Amino acid sequence: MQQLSDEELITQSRGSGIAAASDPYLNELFSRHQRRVSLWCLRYAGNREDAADLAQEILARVWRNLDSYQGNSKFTTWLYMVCRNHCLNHVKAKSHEPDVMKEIVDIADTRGANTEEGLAREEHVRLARRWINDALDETERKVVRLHFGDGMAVDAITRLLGLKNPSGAKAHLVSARRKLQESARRWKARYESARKQ
Amino acid sequence: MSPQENSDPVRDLLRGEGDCLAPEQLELMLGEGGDAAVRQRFEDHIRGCAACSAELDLLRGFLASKPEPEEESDLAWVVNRLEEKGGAAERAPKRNTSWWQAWGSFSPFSKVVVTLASLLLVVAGALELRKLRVSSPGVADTGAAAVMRSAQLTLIGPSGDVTAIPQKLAWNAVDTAVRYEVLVEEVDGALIWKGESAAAEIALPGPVQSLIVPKKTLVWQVTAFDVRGEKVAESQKQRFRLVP
Repeated sequence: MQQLSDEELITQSRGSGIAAASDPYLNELFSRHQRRVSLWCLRYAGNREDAADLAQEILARVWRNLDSYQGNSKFTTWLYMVCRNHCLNHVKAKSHEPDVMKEIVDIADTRGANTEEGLAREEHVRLARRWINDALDETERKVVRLHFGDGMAVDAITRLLGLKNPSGAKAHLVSARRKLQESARRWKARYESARKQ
Repeated sequence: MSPQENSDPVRDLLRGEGDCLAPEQLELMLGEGGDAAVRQRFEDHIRGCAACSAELDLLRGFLASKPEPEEESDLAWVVNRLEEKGGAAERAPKRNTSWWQAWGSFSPFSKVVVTLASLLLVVAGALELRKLRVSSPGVADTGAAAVMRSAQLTLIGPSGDVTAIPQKLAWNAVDTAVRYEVLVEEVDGALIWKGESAAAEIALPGPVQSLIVPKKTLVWQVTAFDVRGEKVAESQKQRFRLVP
């Protein structure tokens, strides 16, 4: 049984007719990935008690929803998505939009400019994206995305991305914030000047 | 949920041009194969997309699953905790509760009410039976009962202590039956396997045989159905146990 791939285990389980609690294929599948899920949860939660609760919830969720796995991706990729979504939903209430991002979003939101100046919104958003990409380096973009876009805690980002610098994701976030503020200031100035012309 | 499904303006600004990659497409970028042109297109997107590049890093870390030395002890603790909570059995749907266990969970008042109701039913039934016997002397009641009750199906084996893992389950055929449903359960009623057969026997699949371990008692039962799908016979539950 250990030679079977994850996907083969699921196929065998579906064809065996064995009740889930006694299914040796499913037991093999879960014991194979229990450690992987636990490590993800440990990195996400930052403490072992919360990690154990999260891992238990995720494994129960996978167990309940295994029928929805269609085989479009590898089982591990599907499992990753379940882990990721479950953990993100877990902290959704804690996330908030930072001032610096709000400022950039306001500038990029050109619904008024569309009618007054004929500038397509898509074009404006594309320009904003390019500014952000130009302003930030690759790690900063990832950290900003995970923290401001997904509401992921700074420490969790440090652990999940395996950042080794002393302050982890926090340093990248501080640097990104500074660069974005500067970028927003320059952008605003350019926007005002375009409006005056 | 893929990143492109979110209309949050912050997320919108932090993604790249075009559609973000679906999980299976991200998975392709972690492997070697795939069409070169497609890979190139995905790479171009990821380069300009904070969402997909972050997602790819997270997926890579999840798949690698390599704990840092300082994570080892906490990880072992979490894994132990999961195993203590029962592993697969804990994740599975709750097992059927035996009637005596359910009885134990009733409040004392409910027990009294149910007991009185049962007594009343017994008394009422006895009175009714007595009335019938008085009004219809000599009429046997067994005919009506036989129509309502399905016939008994006799199991052949395995039964009792067996010295080898049974390869199949066998029973006496029922004349009107076209299909038999077989249940294998643990002694507490938890279902292990359910099979169907047109013949009066059924082979036990390998995974079920692997669950037959020494000193563990299992229970099996067969129900017979006719061509209309109606139950025509049912066996008693038969126990068997592998002895070393």
